[in-house]
Amino acid sequence: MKEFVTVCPRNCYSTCSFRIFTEGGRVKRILPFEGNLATPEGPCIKGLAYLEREYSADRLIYPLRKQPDGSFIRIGTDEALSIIADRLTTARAKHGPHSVLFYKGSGYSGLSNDIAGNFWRLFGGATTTYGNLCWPAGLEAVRLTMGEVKHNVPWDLANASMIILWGKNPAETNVQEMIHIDRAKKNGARVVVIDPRRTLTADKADLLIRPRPGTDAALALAMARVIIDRGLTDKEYISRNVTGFEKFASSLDMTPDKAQMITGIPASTIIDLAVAAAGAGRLTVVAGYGLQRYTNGGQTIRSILSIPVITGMIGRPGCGFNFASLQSYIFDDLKEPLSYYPDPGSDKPFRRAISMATFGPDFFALKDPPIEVAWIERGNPVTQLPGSGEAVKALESVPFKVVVDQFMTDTAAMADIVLPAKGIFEQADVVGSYWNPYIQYKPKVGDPPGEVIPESEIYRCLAELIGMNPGPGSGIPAPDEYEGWLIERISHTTGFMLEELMRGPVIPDQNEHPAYAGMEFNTPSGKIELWSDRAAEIWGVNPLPSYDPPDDYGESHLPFRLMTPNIASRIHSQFGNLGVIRHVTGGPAWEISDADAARKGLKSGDRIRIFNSRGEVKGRVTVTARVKEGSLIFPNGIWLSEGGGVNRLIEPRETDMGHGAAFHNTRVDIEKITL
Amino acid sequence: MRKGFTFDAARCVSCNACNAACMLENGLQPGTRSLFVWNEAALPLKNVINLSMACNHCEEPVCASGCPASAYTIDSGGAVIHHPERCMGCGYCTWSCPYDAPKINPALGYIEKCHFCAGRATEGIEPACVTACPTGALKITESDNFDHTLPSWFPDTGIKPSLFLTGMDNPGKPEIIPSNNDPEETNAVVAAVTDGRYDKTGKLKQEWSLAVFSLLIIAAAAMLIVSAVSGNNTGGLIPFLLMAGALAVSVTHLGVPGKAWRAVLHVRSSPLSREIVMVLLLTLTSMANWLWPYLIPPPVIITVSLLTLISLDLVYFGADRSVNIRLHSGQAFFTSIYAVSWFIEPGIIFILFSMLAAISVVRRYRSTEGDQAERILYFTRAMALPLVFMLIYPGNPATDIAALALFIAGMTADRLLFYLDFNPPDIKRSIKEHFKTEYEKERDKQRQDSGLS
Repeated sequence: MKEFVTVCPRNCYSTCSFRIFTEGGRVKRILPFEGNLATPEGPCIKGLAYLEREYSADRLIYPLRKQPDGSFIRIGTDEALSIIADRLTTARAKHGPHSVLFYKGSGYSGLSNDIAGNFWRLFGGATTTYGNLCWPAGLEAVRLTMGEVKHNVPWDLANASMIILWGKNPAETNVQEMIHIDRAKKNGARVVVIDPRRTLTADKADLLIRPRPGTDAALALAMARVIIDRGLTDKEYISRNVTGFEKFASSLDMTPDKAQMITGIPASTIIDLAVAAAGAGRLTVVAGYGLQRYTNGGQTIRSILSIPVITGMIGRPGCGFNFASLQSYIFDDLKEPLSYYPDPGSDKPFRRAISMATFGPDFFALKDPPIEVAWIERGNPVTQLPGSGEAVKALESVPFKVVVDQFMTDTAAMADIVLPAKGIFEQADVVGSYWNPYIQYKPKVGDPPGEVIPESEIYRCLAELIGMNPGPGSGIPAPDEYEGWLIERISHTTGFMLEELMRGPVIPDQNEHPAYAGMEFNTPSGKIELWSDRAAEIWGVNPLPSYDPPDDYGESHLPFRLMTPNIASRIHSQFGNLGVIRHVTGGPAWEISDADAARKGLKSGDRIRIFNSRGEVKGRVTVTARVKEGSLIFPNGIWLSEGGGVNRLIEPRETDMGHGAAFHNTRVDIEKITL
Repeated sequence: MRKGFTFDAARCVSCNACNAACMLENGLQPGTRSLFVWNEAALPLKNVINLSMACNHCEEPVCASGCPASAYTIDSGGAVIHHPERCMGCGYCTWSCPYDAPKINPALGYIEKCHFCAGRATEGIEPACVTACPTGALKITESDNFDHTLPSWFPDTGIKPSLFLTGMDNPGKPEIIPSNNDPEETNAVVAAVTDGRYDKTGKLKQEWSLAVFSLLIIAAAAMLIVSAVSGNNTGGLIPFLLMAGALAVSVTHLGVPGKAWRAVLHVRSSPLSREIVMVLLLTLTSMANWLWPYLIPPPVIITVSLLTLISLDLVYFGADRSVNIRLHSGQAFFTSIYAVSWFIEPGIIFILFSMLAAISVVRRYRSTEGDQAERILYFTRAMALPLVFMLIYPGNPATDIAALALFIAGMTADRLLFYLDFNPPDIKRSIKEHFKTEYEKERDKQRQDSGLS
């Protein structure tokens, strides 16, 4: 068997390295790669599932065309591409390039994705989406405060004396972080989880604090107030590195008593936690993404971030604020969250953009030109977009749709032409991470099955058919030019050699550890900005961190806050279709607290209808003490065929900053049904 | 040195990667490695403990010693290896293993279980579950002595599992604020989590062939003994027919009936092999007794019958060592002798056995809390005892026949109850029962405390 080191290119913190062993170009075995210090043990259940996923009988390996009766038939690649080229050319000639919608999700990461952008630029532009469904509110909050989004290397967590996991559930979403948390615990660290749910992570904690959903900023600000009132701030650190502290301190009216009313957490607990955090010595606050998927998400992250800032915890080992670390994104001209702005830099003339978070309403507001062709890749908007009812109607109204995917997803099922997407072992690529510091090489270890061609080749063929002159200079390389293009793409950055990269993960020289150790902050003031003029200018929020009650979208009378977290067995809508995943995890269930279950006369296994003014879905309940009274939990990304469709209940609404999606403000009610 | 798994509960986050890896590596059915969770609904009063387990490759593997078909071998490193090609799918190892390690694959008929990824072992690579674990909770350890303290809910039947459990003292029980420790409030969850009664009707349907098998043998043995004791050999064909029927039924119980002949290969240590040998011997005895009446001396017939009945019971005693089963009036030996006592003098023997049965039935009053099937069986058994006496008292032929019918119905019900009460140690049940006890203890304590304060 041949051995390679590779990397998982999914939208996941861990971005694991692992060793693969191939026979005849087919991966037969997956083993851990200890050289990645962030992920030294095995990959997660999804990583293992590549053994099934890439060779699954359900994988799409031929182009498909939809018949008038709705079924698909196999067609040749040439035929598929010439139909598409024809539709693209016609749309562009009649209505201009903006009549084509280019929608990309986060299903695959790698530099090869740039080729798509190069194609559409060469095409003359397109209508695209801006923003992001996941994390932009938090990214923008961190960027506004500290200038850049980065944190210490994951294994530095072991040096912390106190870890506050604030709304993050690494046991399910970043499982290798639990290694470093466990090491910290064995070194004597105290682990606190703040989460309305008792997550699997909370099982490993010393203390679990369960605030009402959406009220985390109030909790954080009250803690900051206690720290300031008791003189527990790091005054020297603040005077040297922080601006706006005086205004922050003097206007901070969130007392523990007030926060108790808002969050449901006793004032005494808030005081104890604040004092413990300030006195921890080495405090790392790890914030998740769920708590910033609210209308107050950005301000919530700014409020939480104020705690490590005023206690001088930024820029030191074992300390910090871990939201995301984009230090490995060294190839990007424009890093997130700036790249999520509607018209980032040079793209302005070429694209017309609509917000991802409000896709449905924005789509119907588009008039001139209307969308004639939709191209969807790396994503499954039917399951992932908030307000999916409207989003589906929007897509239905598009006369011609192309979906590139490995499987017949809910979105692919809507396509007129489905093009099979490459597998992760079928084209070389370079992948960064938003959690670990590594840049990683993903080798090609075998040829794609059937008539699968990599997306780079799909674009090159289309460019040729449309007469766009692809080639090395165009950024749309032919198969034999691809590796050269990849090398060229990364060669202008310094810090490592390609040969080194091909041997295993590389930490680029420019990686700063501890993050911000140089105390240089890329903000207008050059300091950490508790007061941010730009926050007010760009987003119209309070220039200081503040608590704004979460919007209820006019449905405050409905008893349940709906949360759609990520679970261990899938990355959003990916992996749930695989046999091995289904066998070991069972079907999705609606989790409800015991108190609410008693009130509604429900027991585990009962069928319920979940509804609000936007629609309804049906499913089964599981009664558990893991869920807080007043909330209802259903995993995100469940396909319609699996009993999903939950996003139709969710209001399409942007977060307060960063153009994120405020999923978790949604309120619903339920009733027991018999069928 | 023996190889065994080391499992660190503090590191396990119940992600199931180990289970997936086992399936992907070995093509074995789901559940070959399983995740057991103590306090699955995370009730706040008690801790949550995860346990991933496949086979513990015990130093004294009852699966192997009890296997009638000699389908198991032990390799030099102590790995307990099951060979599907030698397996007849009787499922006896699934009874005797307290850890739920061997499992029948219903599609294939035979047993599947962990073999330490034998293929990988030849390449010097650790098992798939170990290399898959993303947090490092599962490791392979080599040791001469896996003796250490296991948690009290861990079924320990003295078979010396090659397993180290660590991190069990890890709290798994964060302080929760605001607490929802209100014991009344969590009642709904407790009910949902702990009311995991067995589906007894389903269990009986699964075991019907065994119940019929044993009832036929009990009847045959009783008839042979009665005729031997009375010296009257009429109806000699019937015991043989019953025995032949029992053998036919027993084959239908097997996952791989074509390998039924393997059942006698492990007389040295398998109670099931011994039972099958005795059943064959009794069948031959009954045949000889039919073809050549009076050829076999009555003491031999009685001895073979009694030994067969004992071998039947030993199969069950080997798997379920509880007092409940040993003192059960539905066991084969007792049932058959009880039937014999109906027909022989003096009547005091029958009265004595009836009293013993009554004691056993009273001891098992908890069966009245079972599902409907169990309740019907229990009341049939319980009511039959006094009613039989009331019916034989008038002494006319009609009531005598009714009494006999009722007597047989009661015994049949008792035999079926024996199957329901037969519960070999099982990790899932241990966890459930232990959790329920512990939870209720804690809840009562809290109630008391809140009452005092």
